[in-house]
Amino acid sequence: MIHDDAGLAAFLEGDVDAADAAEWDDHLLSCDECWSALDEARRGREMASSLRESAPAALRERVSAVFVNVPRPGRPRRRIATGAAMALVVAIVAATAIFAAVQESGGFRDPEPVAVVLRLAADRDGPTPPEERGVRITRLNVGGRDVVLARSDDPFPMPDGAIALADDPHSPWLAQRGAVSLLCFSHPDPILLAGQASPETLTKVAVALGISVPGRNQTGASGVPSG
Amino acid sequence: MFLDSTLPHLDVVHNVARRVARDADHADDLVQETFLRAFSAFESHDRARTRSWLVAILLNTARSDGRRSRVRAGELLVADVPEHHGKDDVGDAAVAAGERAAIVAALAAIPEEQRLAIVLMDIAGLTAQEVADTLGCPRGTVLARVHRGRRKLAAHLERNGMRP
Repeated sequence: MIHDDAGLAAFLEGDVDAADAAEWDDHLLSCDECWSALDEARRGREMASSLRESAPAALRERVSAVFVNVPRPGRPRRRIATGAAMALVVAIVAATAIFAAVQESGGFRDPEPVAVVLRLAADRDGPTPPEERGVRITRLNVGGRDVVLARSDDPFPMPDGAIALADDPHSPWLAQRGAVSLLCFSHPDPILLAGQASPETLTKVAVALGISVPGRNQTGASGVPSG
Repeated sequence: MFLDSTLPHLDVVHNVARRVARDADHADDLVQETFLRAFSAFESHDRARTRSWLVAILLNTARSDGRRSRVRAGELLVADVPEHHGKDDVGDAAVAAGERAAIVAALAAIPEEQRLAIVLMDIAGLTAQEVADTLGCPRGTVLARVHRGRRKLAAHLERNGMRP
């Protein structure tokens, strides 16, 4: 017991059973060294705990506002639109959290990523033009550059030269079309990121959106789903 | 519901964020991203450990964000002092702000593992077992770290004329 740092801390926390507490009481009466250590630790705890503060009301509102009208995760979705609505909210807010200069779309300064996305959507089988298949595009301004977030009911086809990021039929893939990088996810919902930015930047955007990228899952907390 | 389970722990998450972020705005961003990440994994987490689970996500977010921005998680600013919302006692407010700044500076001076134990237990209010769950180390290790860190903190401050 003597000089037992963990035991003294447990005693100070009141995190010991009655027998141990009684034993510590007896010991402390006769051991100046442990008494002094306990007293110093108590003062340190008091000073540290004085830094504790309540979360500002504005932060509480900011956190809460994101999840208003967002469906519960894990619930089966009848249509992609439900997930897409969530993705849009998450996209804008999460990107804002990471990139200071993110803005919601309001006209595209850089049409090339949009053109690449639409050409890719047009490569899919089916008679209808891409705009009638529910390809929904949002522009994110990441560090002054446009990054297109495209969502769709149907998967985007993997173009020639694309690199799968995992050995999985639903694996995300990376591709390059001229100056435009593409990063695509097909599971659970098709999401395509495109922009005149490096694959690394698109990967960071995906991580900021809460999308797990194989080999780049930076959350690491248990229970975080893989892409 | 997600917010019903997680929002009661906002103060805990906020307090940890304030001590690992480079400034108040960065702390708010970390909190926001923590809740977004938590939302995506909410269904699969252990409901009995929501508080320590949120803190684990926050710390991982801070680490990955620190790697991106080259700002080390745990770096603390001496000027990291909140606004005083008291009535009109400017003198007391200045003293309180000065004391907080001194404590923040002293905290920054102790070893990182001990500092983190103090942040999680004494400032955020987690139990030793919750900290052990969060950090993935034995409870006894957490208790030993917090004990040594508290003593160093007190000694450092008392050398500079502060005593609770």
